[in-house]
Amino acid sequence: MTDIVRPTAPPDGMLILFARRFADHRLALASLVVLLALALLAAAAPAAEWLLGVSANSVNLTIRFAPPSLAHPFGTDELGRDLLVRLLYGGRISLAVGIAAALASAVIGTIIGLLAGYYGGKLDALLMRLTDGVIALPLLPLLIVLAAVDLTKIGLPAELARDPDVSLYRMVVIIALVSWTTVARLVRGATLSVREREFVLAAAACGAGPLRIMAVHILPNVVSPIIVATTLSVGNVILLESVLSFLGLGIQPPIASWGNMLTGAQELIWSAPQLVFWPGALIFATVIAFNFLGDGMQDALDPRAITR
Amino acid sequence: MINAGVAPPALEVEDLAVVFPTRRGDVLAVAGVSYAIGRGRTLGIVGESGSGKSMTALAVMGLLPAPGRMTSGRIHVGGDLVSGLGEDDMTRIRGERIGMIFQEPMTALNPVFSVGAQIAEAWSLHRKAGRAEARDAALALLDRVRIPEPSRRYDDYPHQISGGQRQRAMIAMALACKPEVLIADEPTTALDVTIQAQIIELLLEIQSEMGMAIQFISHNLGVISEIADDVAVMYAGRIVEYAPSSRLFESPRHPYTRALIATIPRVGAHDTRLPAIGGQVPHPLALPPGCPFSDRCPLADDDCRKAVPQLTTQGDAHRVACIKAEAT
Repeated sequence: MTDIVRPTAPPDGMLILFARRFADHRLALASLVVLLALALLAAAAPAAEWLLGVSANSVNLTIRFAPPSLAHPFGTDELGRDLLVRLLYGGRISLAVGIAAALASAVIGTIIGLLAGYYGGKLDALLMRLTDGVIALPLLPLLIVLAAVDLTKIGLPAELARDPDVSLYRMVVIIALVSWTTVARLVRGATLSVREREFVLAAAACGAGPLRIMAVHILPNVVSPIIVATTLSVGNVILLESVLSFLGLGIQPPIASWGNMLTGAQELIWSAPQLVFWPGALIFATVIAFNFLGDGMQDALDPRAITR
Repeated sequence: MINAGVAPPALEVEDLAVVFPTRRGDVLAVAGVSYAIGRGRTLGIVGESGSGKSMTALAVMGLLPAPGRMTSGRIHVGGDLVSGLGEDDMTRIRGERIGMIFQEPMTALNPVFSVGAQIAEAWSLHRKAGRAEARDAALALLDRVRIPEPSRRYDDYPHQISGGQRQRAMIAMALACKPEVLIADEPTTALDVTIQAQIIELLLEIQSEMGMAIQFISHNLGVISEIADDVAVMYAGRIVEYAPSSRLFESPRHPYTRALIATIPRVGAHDTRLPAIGGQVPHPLALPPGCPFSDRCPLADDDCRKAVPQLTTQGDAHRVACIKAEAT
C-alpha cells in the first residue's frame, strides 16, 4: 500500500498511540468487551438477586434441578438455588481473586526482579535461585498443604480464622506466593538492560540514591512487560482458584465461586450437565479473554512487535 | 602540592589506580594518575579509547562499573577527602559538589519523562522544596542553557528535541545544584561541529559565571585546545604528558603527544596525507615491557623497555613521562 506522504501531525501522546494500536487487535478488543461485560454482570449480582426475588444461598429442596423458567432463567442446582445468581456471585469471587492475586504477585515479582537486576552479583544469584526454587516446587501438593494450614496456629484470632471471607484472602495470598516468578524473571531481565543505559548513570551522577533510581528511573521503563505478564496471569490465577476450589480447598461453600460450583456438580455431570457447563464455560471464556487481552497489550506496548 | 594558606584546588586526584579483575588477570585501567584543577579552571584529558580517561572520571564520581574498583588513590573535592566515603555520603556529594555530563545526550536522558521534569528532579534531589519551586528552577535552568521558549520545551520528551538541545538539557541537569566540579565526558563527541562550538561556548560562559572547575574529557585535541587551561594526555591508563594548554600545543615533548598533534587535520593542507600513529593501543593485559608506548614510538630503544617512565617535571609545570623527552 503506498500512501501519499502527509505533513507529520504533532506527535500523539503515548496513551493515544497505545489505544490506537490496541484497537487494531480485534480479538483483544472483543476480549476486553467480554471481560467488562462479565465484570459488570458480576457487579450487578445483588441487583439480579433482587430482580428475580431469590437469594444466592437460600436452599429450597422442592425445586431441585428445575429447568430454566422465568423465576430461574438458568434453572436451579442440586439444592434448589438459582443458578444464574450463583454464577454471578461466583464471577465476583473468581474475578476478584484472579485480579487481586495477579496484582499481588506482580508487586512481589517486580520488587524481587528490580532488586536482582539492579544490584546483580550475589543478591541476584540468591533471588534468582529462590525463583527457580519456587518454580520447581510441585505446585498442587504445595497449594493443598498451604490451603490446609490452620490459621489459628499461625497466630490469627479464632473468630477471624472462622470468618467465611478468610478463605478468599487465603486464596489470594497462597496464589500470590507461588505465581510471582514470571514477573520477577521478566523484570530482572528488563532491569539488567535498562540499568546499563546512560540515563541511569546520569541520575546517579545527579545524586539519586539506589532506591530512587530503581523506583523513578528504571521501573517506568520496565512497566510494559509487567502489565502484559500480569494480564496473562489473571487467567492462570482463575484456573488455579478453580482447581483448588474443585478440590474443596479453595473458596468454601456456601460462598459460590466458579471453581466450587464445578465441584458441587461433579457427580451430576450426566444427570444435570448444565450445572457443569455454565461455570466451566465462564472459566474458559474468562481465561481465553485474559490471554487475548494480554497478547493485544503486548503488541500495543511494543511498537517493534510484528503485527499478525 | 597544597600550600598552606592557599585555597585548595576544586578537585585534586592523587595516585588514582583502578583495577578490573578479569578471568585472564587484573586489568589496570588507570595506573597511578594524579592531577589537580583549580576553581574556575579547565583540565582537558585527552586519549584514545581505552586509555582510562572515562574510568578516571567515573572513579572520581564513585560510580565505577562492577567489577572495577579503586586500588589506590585519594580524591579531594574543595579540600575535603571524598574517596573512601560510604555510598550514602557519596550520593550526597554527587550532583551537589561534583556534576557530570555524558557523551550521548540521547541515552543520558530518561525517555519516559519530560525534559523539564528531569531537570526539576535533579534540582530537588539535594533540596527540600515543593513541586512549583522545582518547576520554576528548572525553567530558569532551561533558560540559562539557552533553550528557547523554556515553558514550551519543559513538557517535551527527549525524543522530541534535537541532539544539541538534549545536551543543553543534560548540562542544565548537571548544573542544577551548582557543583564545584563538573566532569564532562566527551560532551560534544556525538554532536555536529557547529553545535559542538555552541556547547563549548555555553560551558565556558557558565564556568566564568559560576566559577566551577571543569574536567573535560575528549579524544579530540581540537576541542581540547579550545576549552582547556591545562591538558593531560593519557595513554594505557597513565598520564604521559601534563602541561598548560598553550605549552603543550606549542612544544609537545612526549612522542605520543607529538604524533597526536600531527594527526589534527589543518585547513589548507590538501596535498599531504594526514599522518597516522602506527600500530594499535596495546591490550591492557599485554602491555610491552617498560614504556607502554615503546612498541609504537619512533624514538624507542632498549632503555625505554627497561622501566615504566615516571611523570617528571621538565621546566615549570610541564611534566612528561618519557626518558627521551630531554634529548629532543
